[in-house]
Amino acid sequence: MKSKHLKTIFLFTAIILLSFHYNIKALQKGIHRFKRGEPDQITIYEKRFLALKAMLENHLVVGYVSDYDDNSDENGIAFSKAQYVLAPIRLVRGTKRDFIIGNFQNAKPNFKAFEKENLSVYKDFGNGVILFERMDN
Amino acid sequence: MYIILSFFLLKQFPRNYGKILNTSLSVGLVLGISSCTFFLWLYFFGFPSTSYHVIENILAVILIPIAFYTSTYQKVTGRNQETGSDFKIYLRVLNIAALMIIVCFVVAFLLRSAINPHGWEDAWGMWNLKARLLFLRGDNWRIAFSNVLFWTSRDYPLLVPISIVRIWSYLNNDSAIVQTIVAGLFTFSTVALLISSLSVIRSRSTGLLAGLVLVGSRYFIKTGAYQIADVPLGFYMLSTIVLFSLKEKSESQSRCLILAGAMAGLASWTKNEGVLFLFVVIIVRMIVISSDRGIKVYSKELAMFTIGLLPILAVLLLFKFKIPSTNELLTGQSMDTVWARLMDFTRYLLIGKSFIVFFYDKLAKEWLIILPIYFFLLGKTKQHVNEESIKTSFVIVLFMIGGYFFIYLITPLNLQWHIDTSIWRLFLQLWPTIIFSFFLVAATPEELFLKKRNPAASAQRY
Repeated sequence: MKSKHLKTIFLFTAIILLSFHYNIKALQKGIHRFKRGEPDQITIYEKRFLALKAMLENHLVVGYVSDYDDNSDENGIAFSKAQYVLAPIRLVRGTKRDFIIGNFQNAKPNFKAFEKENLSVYKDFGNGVILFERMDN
Repeated sequence: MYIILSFFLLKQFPRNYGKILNTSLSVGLVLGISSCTFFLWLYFFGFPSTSYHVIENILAVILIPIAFYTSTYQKVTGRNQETGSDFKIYLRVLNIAALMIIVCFVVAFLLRSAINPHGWEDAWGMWNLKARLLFLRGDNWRIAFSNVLFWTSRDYPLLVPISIVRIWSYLNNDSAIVQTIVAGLFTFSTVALLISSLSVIRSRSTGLLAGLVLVGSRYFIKTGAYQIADVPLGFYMLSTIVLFSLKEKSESQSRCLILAGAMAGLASWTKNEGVLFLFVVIIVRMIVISSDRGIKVYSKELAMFTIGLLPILAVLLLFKFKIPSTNELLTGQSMDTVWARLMDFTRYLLIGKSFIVFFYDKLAKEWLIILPIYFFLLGKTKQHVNEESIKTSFVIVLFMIGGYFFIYLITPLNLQWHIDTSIWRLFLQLWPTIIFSFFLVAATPEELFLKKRNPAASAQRY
């Protein structure tokens, strides 16, 4: 067989197989995850915050507290997910607003630390979602 | 409708693959230009509603027949790919394999998008969040840029969010499927553009092989489905480079240059890295053209390029100067702090090591073995490929990598964190252009089987 044929067969085979390998892997992974039928993180957050969002419909800016470690990546991700699902309401970290949203990992969080900051529970929506109200305003 | 309009406006490349080339360029052009017009309306008249939609559609209806009658397919000069029946068998196998792989790619993309319809962290933390704020606040859209949202990179341009908002404004709801559609359009258009442009400029098998390298790159499909702006930016970078290369082969050089200007402008309207790209393109073309053919030729080219660029640049400047926001990489920087960082050689080592490790180990490990073998076996092309096109694409990639390196050097953010969270996106922006550049310079498989060379083609200067 002439070298031009060998070269063509080798290069075509190598590129086709490698590309095929990656795409089949991506496809298998996608099918596997799709079959599991687990909702994505945003859909989970949308369900958690649905009732709270309806209640705060007329508010432009609300506070935000959570029990995530302050500087962890999870803290930032949880905050941006909450902001995304609650838009167009804007979230500000901290307790200096009339209403403050609590986004907790624990479904039954310990509120005592927040009560010391003059916050009282306005409504507990379950699943770690709580609406606090400032008592000193 | 706008895609149809753009298709006719762009209809200048040969019929074989030209339709795919025109369509992929049209998608980017339509999404980009309509995001500019939508932003202008938003800025001057408030949130675009029925009147905007009516005017937009009337304009399209008027322009489509005009575009249809004023456009023609043109010849691309200098191709001679008569290869005989031996090679046609290989080409047929490659066609079938490419079709199967691309089907897998599309289905995998759709599955990923169905699993994560809102995209990934940067999508819901920035791009899609901005889209939601703009859409849901309507006439009070400026709150999307309020200080409260300082963490959302407020100074980033709006091509992607506004493309989504524009479609939502037609649907009158913020359905997540629109985000997937916009991400899909850019992802698939990038693949189609790479395949079709190389098919037109080099050869059919080269286009298909390049497309397979791109869809077989591990970060590409993931990033496309993430709904972030890096794949769209990569699309506009590739479009600009492709148009410079097509210009050398097209009968209508000025049209290619105007389009290249528009695409470079749209890159800068997509992400801040696109502004760097715009500067790099202007500088690199000045170096390449001036050194070869003198400053006068470059001035003429720049004039054409500017015609396409200027309207989009005006929109970008309006956004940058009239919407108050801060740049996280520039805020609080002083000459002393920048100088101190530039003098810190540990930063050079860290960035250099990260570039090599990421590029080799993460983005392109297997391709960095296969592509050098490809070059070793086939060598540099013996057909005439315009040297200026080759220089332009390679030097732009080098300058862009240099620009990214410099930005990391002076970043006020934690360097390791900044690199870890962004390097893969920066390289992915350049990856389609790197693949294009490689296949532009390497010999085509068809060259092995050529029956005869066309002396006129190889002697001709495009």
